Amino acid sequence: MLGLQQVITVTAKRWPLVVELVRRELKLRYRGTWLGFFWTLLNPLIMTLVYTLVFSYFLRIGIPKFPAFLLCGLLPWMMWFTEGVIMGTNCLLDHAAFLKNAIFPSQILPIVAVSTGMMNYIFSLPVLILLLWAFGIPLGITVFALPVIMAVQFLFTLGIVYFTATYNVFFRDLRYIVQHVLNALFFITPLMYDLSIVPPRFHLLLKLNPMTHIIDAYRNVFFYRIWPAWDNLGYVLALSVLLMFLGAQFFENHREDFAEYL
Amino acid sequence: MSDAIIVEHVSKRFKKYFRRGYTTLKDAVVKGQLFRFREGQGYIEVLKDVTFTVPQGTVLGIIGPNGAGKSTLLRLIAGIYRPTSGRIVVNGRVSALLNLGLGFHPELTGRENVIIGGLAVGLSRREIMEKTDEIIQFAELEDFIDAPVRTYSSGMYMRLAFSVAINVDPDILLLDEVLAVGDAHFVEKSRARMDEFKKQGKTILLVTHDLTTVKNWCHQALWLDKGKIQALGKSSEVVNLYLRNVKDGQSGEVKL
Repeated sequence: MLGLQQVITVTAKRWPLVVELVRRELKLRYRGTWLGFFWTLLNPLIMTLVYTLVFSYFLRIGIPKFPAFLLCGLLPWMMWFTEGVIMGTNCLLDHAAFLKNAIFPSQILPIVAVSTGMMNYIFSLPVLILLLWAFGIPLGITVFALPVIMAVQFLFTLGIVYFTATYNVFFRDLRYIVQHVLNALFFITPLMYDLSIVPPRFHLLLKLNPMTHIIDAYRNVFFYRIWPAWDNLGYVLALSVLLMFLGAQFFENHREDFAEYL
Repeated sequence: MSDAIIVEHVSKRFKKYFRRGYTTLKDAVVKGQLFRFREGQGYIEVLKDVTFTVPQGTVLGIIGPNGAGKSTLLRLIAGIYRPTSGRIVVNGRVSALLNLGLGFHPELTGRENVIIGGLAVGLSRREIMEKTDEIIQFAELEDFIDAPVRTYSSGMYMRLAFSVAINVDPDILLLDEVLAVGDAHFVEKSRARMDEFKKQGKTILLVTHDLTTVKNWCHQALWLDKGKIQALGKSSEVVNLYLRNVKDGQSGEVKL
C-alpha cells in the first residue's frame, strides 16, 4: 500500500487515539507547574518585547504598530512550526516504550506532534487578538481565511516531520541539526521584517521558502486585513502535498524497522 | 475452523555486533553511510524458515532454550518487527503482553496508560471507558491508578499490564513469560481469567519455561531451538520430546 494511503487509513481508524494523545501531550507538559500554558506563551511575548526594543527603538526600522506586526508571525512560528518540527522529529524516540513493546500505530505520532503545536497556536490566539485590538486593529472579515492558512501550515509541517522523525531513528544527530536549521530559518523568513525592505535580488530566495508565504498570509488576514495571496498559498499547498506524499512513503518504507533501532 | 495465525517461511535476521543500531554524524561522514542505515557487516539469523499455522481457538505454548527465537517470533506476529523474508497473516484483534508491559508511558498515570493502551489496539473511546473500571479492579490498583506509572513497583506494573492485555477483548492474545510473575493470589486470578478465555474459544500464544503449564494447559506446543522448529504437535508429546532432549544434553538449557 502507498505510504500516504496507509497514513490516512490508520489515522482514520485510530482517530480517538490521536485525540487522546494530543490531550495528554498538552496536559503533561504543564503538569506540576503553576503557570501552565503561560510559560509557552511567554516566549513569543518576550521576543516581541525585545525585538520591538531593538528594531523600533535601537535600529529605527519604521514598521508601524510593530509589536502587532511581529506577533502575527511569531505565534504560528514559535508556538506551532518550531514546536511541531522539534517534537515531531523526536516523536518516535519519545514513544520508544510503546513502539518496542506494544502494538501501536506509529503512523499517528507525527500527526499528534503537529496537532499539539496547532492547539498551542489556537490557545495563543486570544492574546494576539487582544494585542491587535490594543493597537486599534479590529478583526476583519478576512480572518475567515484562517482555517485555509492553518491547513496549509499543517500539511507543510507534517510533510517535514514524516521525514525527520523517520531519519532521526537511524541518525540521532538529526535533532541537533534540525534545531540549528530552524534557528537559521528564523532569520531568513520575514518574521521581524517585511519582504519589501529586503533588496530585490534576494526576493527569489526568500520566496522559495514556503514559510515566507505562510507568515505573509497570517499577517495579511490579521494585520493588514486583506485576503492572503492565494497564488503563493497555492504554491505552498502543492509543495506540501508533494512533501507529505514523499514523507509518508519514506516513513512507511522504514516503519517496521523502528522497533529494532529504537 | 479457520486459521488465526499463518506463518509462512519466515526468517528474521538482526545485525550482529552492533553496539547501537543507529548512525552518528561521525560514522556517516567517515564511512559515507548517510543514506544507507540499514546495511551492516554481520547478521545473526534468529529465525530460519519457520512455517506453521495456528487454528482459531488453539492455545499454543512456545518452548525452547534461551535465545531460541521465541520472543522474536511473538514480536513478529504482533507486527512489531518485520520478517526478513516470508509472510505472516493474522486474523483478528491482537493484544500482546511482551516484556512485562514495558509499553507504558512512565510520566502518564495508570488510568491514562490504560486508555491509550485500549485505544491503540482499536477499542473505541466509549468501549475503553466502560472497561477501565474493570481493568483497574482486576489489577487491584484502585488506590494508585491516578499516580504516574513511574512510581509503580514492578509487581503493580505487571498487574496493570496483564489486566489491560486480557481485558481489551482481543481475539488473539500473545503472552511472553508472564504467568510466573506476580504473587500467588494474582497468579491464581490470572489463571482463572485465562481459563475463561480458553473456553470462549480465543487463540492464545504463550512463551514460557514452565513446562507443566504447557503440558496441562496448552492444546499444542511448538518447540523452537536455534531459530528452527524442532517439533510441533500435541503439547504433552512435544514437552516430553523436549525434556528427553534436554536430558540427553543436546540442548544448553538446565532442566526445570
